[in-house]
Order: sequence, then structure tokens, then C-alpha cells
Amino acid sequence: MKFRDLFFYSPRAEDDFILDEPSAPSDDYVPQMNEGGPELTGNYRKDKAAFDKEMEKDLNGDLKIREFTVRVGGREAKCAAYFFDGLVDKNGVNDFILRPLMMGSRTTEARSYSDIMNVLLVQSEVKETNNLGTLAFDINFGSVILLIEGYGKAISVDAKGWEHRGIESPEVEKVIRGPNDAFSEQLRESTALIRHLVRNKSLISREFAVGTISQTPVSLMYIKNVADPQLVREAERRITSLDIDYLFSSAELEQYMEGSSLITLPQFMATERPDRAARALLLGRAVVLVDGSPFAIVMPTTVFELNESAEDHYLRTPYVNVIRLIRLMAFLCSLLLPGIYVAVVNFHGEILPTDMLISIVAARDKVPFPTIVEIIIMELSLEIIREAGARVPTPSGTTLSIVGALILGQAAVSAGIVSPILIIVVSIAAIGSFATPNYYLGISARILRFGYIFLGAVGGFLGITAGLFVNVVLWTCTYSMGVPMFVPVAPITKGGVPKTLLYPQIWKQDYRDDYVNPLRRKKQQSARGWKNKEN
Amino acid sequence: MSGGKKIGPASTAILFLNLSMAKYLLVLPYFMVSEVGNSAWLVILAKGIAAIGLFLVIAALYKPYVGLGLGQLTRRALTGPVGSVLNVIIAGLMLVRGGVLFRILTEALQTLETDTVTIEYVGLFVLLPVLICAMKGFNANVNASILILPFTVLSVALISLVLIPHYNIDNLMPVLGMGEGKIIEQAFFRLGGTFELIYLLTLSRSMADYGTFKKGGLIGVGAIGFFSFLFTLIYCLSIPYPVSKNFFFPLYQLTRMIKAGSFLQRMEPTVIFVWTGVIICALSTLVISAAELLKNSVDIRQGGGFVPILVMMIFFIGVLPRSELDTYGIYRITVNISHYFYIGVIFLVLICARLRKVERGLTYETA
Repeated sequence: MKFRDLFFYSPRAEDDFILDEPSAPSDDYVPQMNEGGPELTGNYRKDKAAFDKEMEKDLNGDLKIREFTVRVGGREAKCAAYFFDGLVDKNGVNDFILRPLMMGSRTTEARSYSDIMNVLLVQSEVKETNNLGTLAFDINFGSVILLIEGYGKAISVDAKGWEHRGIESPEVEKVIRGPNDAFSEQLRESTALIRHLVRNKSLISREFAVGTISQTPVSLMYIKNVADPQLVREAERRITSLDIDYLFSSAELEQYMEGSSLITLPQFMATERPDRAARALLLGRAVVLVDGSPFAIVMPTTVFELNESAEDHYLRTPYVNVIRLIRLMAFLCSLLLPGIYVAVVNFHGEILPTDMLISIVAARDKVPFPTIVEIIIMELSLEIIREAGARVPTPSGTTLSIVGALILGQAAVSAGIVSPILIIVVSIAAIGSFATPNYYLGISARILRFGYIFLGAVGGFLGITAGLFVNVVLWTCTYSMGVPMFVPVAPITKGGVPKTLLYPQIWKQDYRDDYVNPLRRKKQQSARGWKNKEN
Repeated sequence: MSGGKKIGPASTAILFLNLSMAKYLLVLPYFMVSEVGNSAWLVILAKGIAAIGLFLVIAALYKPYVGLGLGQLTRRALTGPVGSVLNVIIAGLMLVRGGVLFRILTEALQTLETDTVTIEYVGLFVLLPVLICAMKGFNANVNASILILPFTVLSVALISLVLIPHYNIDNLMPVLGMGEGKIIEQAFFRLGGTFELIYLLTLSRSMADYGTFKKGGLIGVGAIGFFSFLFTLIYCLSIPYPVSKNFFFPLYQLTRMIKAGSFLQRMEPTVIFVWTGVIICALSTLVISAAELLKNSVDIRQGGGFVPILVMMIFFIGVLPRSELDTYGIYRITVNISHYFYIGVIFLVLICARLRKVERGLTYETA
């Protein structure tokens, strides 16, 4: 044993997690979609044995093999159908694959092997291949693989039909006026939901398989003559360059694709709403969907878009502008209010009306801790309750809320641990983070809040100013797919600032944002034609 | 210090405005009132018009060299050590200016914090953001300026509005104050905005083209002229002479005068902290400009290494103790010579560049 082994855990060879036979090179064991793997020989017995080995027949309990005979060219040929239980639609397999082959081949005789594909199998997606790697890939995607004696090739028949959640209402982005369907975990369903809204041949859906082992289907969607080709190329480059074993969610993909990982600001917008994704596409953005994840990633995005809610586009202009302002204030409260409270109590008491200052001082009279300790106790308690609330089952949630409210509200004040005014400050900050439409932006505010509390305690308003300045500098230097996060304000783009400050009427939104370099800048022209005298 | 994309005219104007506002609105009324009494607003107006004229002349001469920046142009026009030394001198003057801005700010901030707060403690909160901003580069600085400027303008507007009850037209009388001779001397013989021009020429390397330089600069000079005129006018209107020449921080004095409903008066510290943001921006621009000049003096491609050193130098200049030659003393010496020095340097470099036929549009990287 080496000296360093006393300090570092080093697993023995037999403890290692081995994915394949030790003799195989570690990178080659995974069947790739298009890689040149072993080929079928044309000998049914040998091919079947090879495919059994490829699919680990003895180990895989859910691998089903149905062996039967099929009549081809006037003679009986052995046939084996391979599929994974649960990945295929069993009724479809029985009715449209096994029945035509076992019974139909005897009534409607297949003169040659090609007749099996052309006459007997009525499925929409049927292909033949002799590559074992491709067959293994297909079977994992819900295909039935048919090995037929004397054919020399295998037939892959698409029969996917696993159990999954249907299209449901959005959980995170609820709206009052607007469509109420959300993406599901099924990639195809999600892309179809977008296609249902953008019925145009220019809507492109590029497909990629990400993850050397998981081979997760990822779809990059854009509108060909609207989206900037450079944006599409960059998105494609970032997706195809990923060298990872697995990918389960768009949230993971987002982290792989973002530029700055340490900045708290989210660099993409995640949405579960097909209408929001479709709108983004029509505005020149690209949308990425990942199989198994009900959230689409919209790229590029800006910090102002992160402050938009899904409903903004369905509300009338005056309502949107007021609501956006309230939302901004909520975000700022969430970010700064506890820090400002500490700064005011410690340094700038003169900013408060005298009566209020006296009442704060009187309330704090019984509290044994300095303000910073008091506020950190409260903030941590709140974060613990929030975290617990996210984990507990719904029925226990009510109990948790009551306990939380009692502990945080009544008991902590009665025990003299915190002052009543602090409860108000912490509550407003917490509610502010919930009012932030983007979940990540809300978390960002919650994390940074602790920094501002510290700065407020050590430097008063000056500390908060310094912190804000650094925050602004770092955030404005963050890019989403090459687009600055604070565009169109910093840097300024033509006509961008007024549009950001005041949401214009829907019929005045004639142009797409120039910072995404759309191929079609104009979105609408004389949107309200009935206002023109000629009409 | 990272490079970045070229900026447009609006960003140029805002950057210029921000870095000028730091000085003009903090101390300019004090300097002007000390020299010409309560007709300072008239001097500022005349100075603004003169500055626009001067800018147009220099912009026309500088047209071919926008992509180069002053640092490279100096090196090319005045080859050898002369250009390098000149760049170092300008960088040094920038640091003196930075030091005095830092000193003014920290002294103003000290009055808002508790009595025991030292200048070093306040300085930490000012210079740390300056360091980070300067390290992030010019574009970060421009973006921060854009976000801070609206608050600055709002704070000036707020002060202007709530001080209306204090306005007294008699405070401006006599209009010519200490006499027209003094006004003409201040307005036209001590040119204003020369230092800002040096900034603009140094940073022109990051501007998209000549149009950006000219348009952005013109808007910037015009806007700063307007704001400093407005602010000085408000100051002169609100505070009678000779009381007005006693306040070294006119802005702070004005905010303390706010009595509208007593609540706004309580907001006085927040206004000061908006200005802190402006000065942090101005200081980081100074550091970036100085680093750019030093970088060109020693022919290296990255000037980021200079940034921490320059920030420390600003700190040490800013905290010079009140003795025979303190921060303000150094500043007074430099400010008296700088009016003619800066304008002389600009014209010398431009004439030499024309005579030596410095290649147009070339950048250091492509040369």
C-alpha cells in the first residue's frame, strides 16, 4: 500500500463499476446509431446467436423474443421477433406485425423477401439493415426487430408505444387567459405541439442523439427563414460537441450549453408552454427540446425576457406595464430589502421617520443578537422551511406551513429571538422571490440576498452600492448564445430601450428584436388594417 | 482586462457623460463659484459652447485615426521614447485625477457613515468594484454606465424639482458677477473638457467608426454641457454668494437642503449613493484608459496586468495626508497646467501624425 492510499479512497479493480467485458476497449461497448458494428452473416442461427449476445438476452428480463415461421416464396422460414416489453405497443405488435407474418403470409403469399416489407408489414416506419449496432439502437427506441431465415438482413419495424403522461396543464407557468397545454416528457408529442401552432414548412426540427450511453433524442427547432443561421450553427455546434455518457433533462443540457457557469443569472429561458416556445421561434429564437423533459430551452434570452411571464402577451398593454413594474419591484425587494434593512438599522437610521425609528429600536430592545445575526437566523429558517416544503408530500405541507408560520411568526418574536419588523422584511423578500416569473432568477435573488445582507452590515448603503455595481458589471458581461443578457439596454440597441421600459401595444410591435439578427426583421405591417381609410 | 466588441454612438455618449458627470456635478460648481461668483452658470454655458467647437475641430483632424486610439497614435506619430514618455505622463495625470475623485468621494461618504469609519475602509468599498470593473474591460464599463446614468439623471431632476421653493432669482444678481473680463477669461482662455477629450481619444479604439466617435462625442459634450449648466444654475439659484463658495461638495449641500415634506430629505443618502456608482464608473474608465496608454508605451498586447497597480496608485494618491502637498494640492498644480498641456498634446500628436503620414485605419494588432 502506498502512503497516499492511507488518505485517498482507491477502489480495488473488482469494486469498479464495469459496463462491459474488461477486454473490450472502454469507448467501444456502446452501440452507436451510425457506427459500423458487426454485420449479420446471413446465417440465421449465427445471426440470432450474435444478436442474442448483443442484446444480453440472458441478463435482460424485459427483452422478449417470439419465434415463429413465416411463409416466403412457397417455403417456411424461421423468424424471430425481438422487442422490449413496455417500450412497444403490444396490440400493435400482435395485430400489425405478428398476425400478418404468421397468418397473413399464408393467405397473401409473399413471393420474395421484399414482399414482407412491401406487402405484409403495414407499419408506417419499416427499414432493413444488417448492422447489429443499428438494430440495438432501434430496439431501444421501441422498434421490433425481425430476423428471418434466409433473408440476410434484419427488419426494424417501428412500434413504439410506452406508457407516459399525457398532455396536461402547465404546473409552473399558469395563465388565466391563454392556452392551457404543456409539454410532456415525450419529445415527439412536444415537437408536435409546436408544429400544431406553427403550421409552416419553414419550421425545422433537427434531431440529435446526445449521450454516448443514453442516446437521448434532442430536437433543435427553428424557423428557417427567420432565425439567424449563425445562432442555429452555434446551437448545433454546442449540442453536437457534447461528449457525455448520458442526458436526462433539458436542465442538464442547459448547464452544458451555457457560457458562464458561476454567474447566478440563468442564461437560457426554460418554458413548459408550447405557445411560449412557438412565439420564441417566430421571434427568431431557437428552441431545444430533450426527450424525457417537459421543458423547452429558449435561446438566446435576455434578463428582461426572464422578467416576463407567460401571460404578458395575452394581457392588454396597460395591465402588462403595471404588472411588469410590480414584478421588477418584487425582484428588487427580494434581492435587496433585507440588506437595506440591516444597512438602515446599523448605519442610516436618519433615513427613517423618527417615530418609526423609535418603534424599531423599541422592538429590538429585547433581541439579544446584532441585526445581522437576527436576519440570518430568520433567512436560514425560511430557506429550510421552503426546502422542506418542496420535499414533503402535499398533505404534510399544510402542517409544515402551520409549524413554519408559528415558529417564524409568533414564537420567534415571543421568545425575543427576532423583532417583529424583521418578520415583515423577511416575508416581503420571500414573497418577492415567488413573484419573480423565472424560477432560476428567483433562486439567484435568494442566494445574492445573503451577500447584500453581509454588505449592508459591514458597509451600509455604500457596501450595497459596491455590491450592486459588481453585480451589474458581472451580469452585463454575461452572454446568452453570444447575445448580452442586458441587451437592448446595455448595450443599447436602436429603439430597444423604450420597448423594454414600456411594453407597446400588440399592433405596434412591427419588428422582431434586432439583437437576435432575424432574417425577417418585419413581423407585421399595418396590423390593424381596418384603421386605414382605404379599407 | 478583456477587449470586446465595438461600441455605438449612444454608448459612447453615455460613457462620456458618465465619466464627465463624476467631476462636473460633484465639484465643478464649487470651483467655478470660487473663481467667478454666482455668474458661474454663465461661464459654464460659454465653456460648453467652446467645448463643442473644440471637439468638432479635433474630431475633424482625428478622423483617420479613430481605430488607433490616442495611445497608439502617440507612439506612431512621435516615434521612440518620446511617444512612450508622453503616454506615461498622460496616464499619470489620469491617476492624479482619479486620486482626487476618490478623495472627494470618500470624504463625502465618510460624513454619511459612522464617525469611526476611516478613509481606507470607505476606500475598500469604492476601489474593489473599480478593480473588478476595470478587469472586466471597457464594454463592462460602458454597460454599467448605461445602467447607472438614468438614476443619475433622475437624481438631478429630483434635486432640481424639490429645491424649487429655495430658488431665488436675486441670488443670480448681478448677472455678470465679478465682471465680464473674468467670465471671458474663464470661459475661453481656460478651455473646458480637454481632459475628457483625452479620454475620448484614448478610448476611440473601441468605437465602431468615425461616425460613432463624432456623433457620440458631440452628444456627450452637449449633454454634459447642459447638465453641468443646469446643475450650476440650480446651485447658484439656491445658495447666495458668498455662502455658495464655502461648500466643497455642492451636490451634498444641495441634497441636505431638501426639505420637501421631510421624507425626501431623508432620502438624501440614497442620492449620494447613486453618485457613488457614477464615480466608480468614472474611476474604472480612468484606470482602463491609463492601462491602455501604458500598454501602448511598452508595446504589449494585454494591459490587464497594469489594472491592480493603477488602482493601488489611485488609492495612495487619494489618501495622501493633509500636509503641505496633499491630494488636492497635487490636483491644483496639475489642473493649472493641464488645460494647455492636454490641448497641446492633442494638436502636437495630430500634426505629427499628419506630417509623418501615419498609416490610416491600422490597429496595433494588424500592424
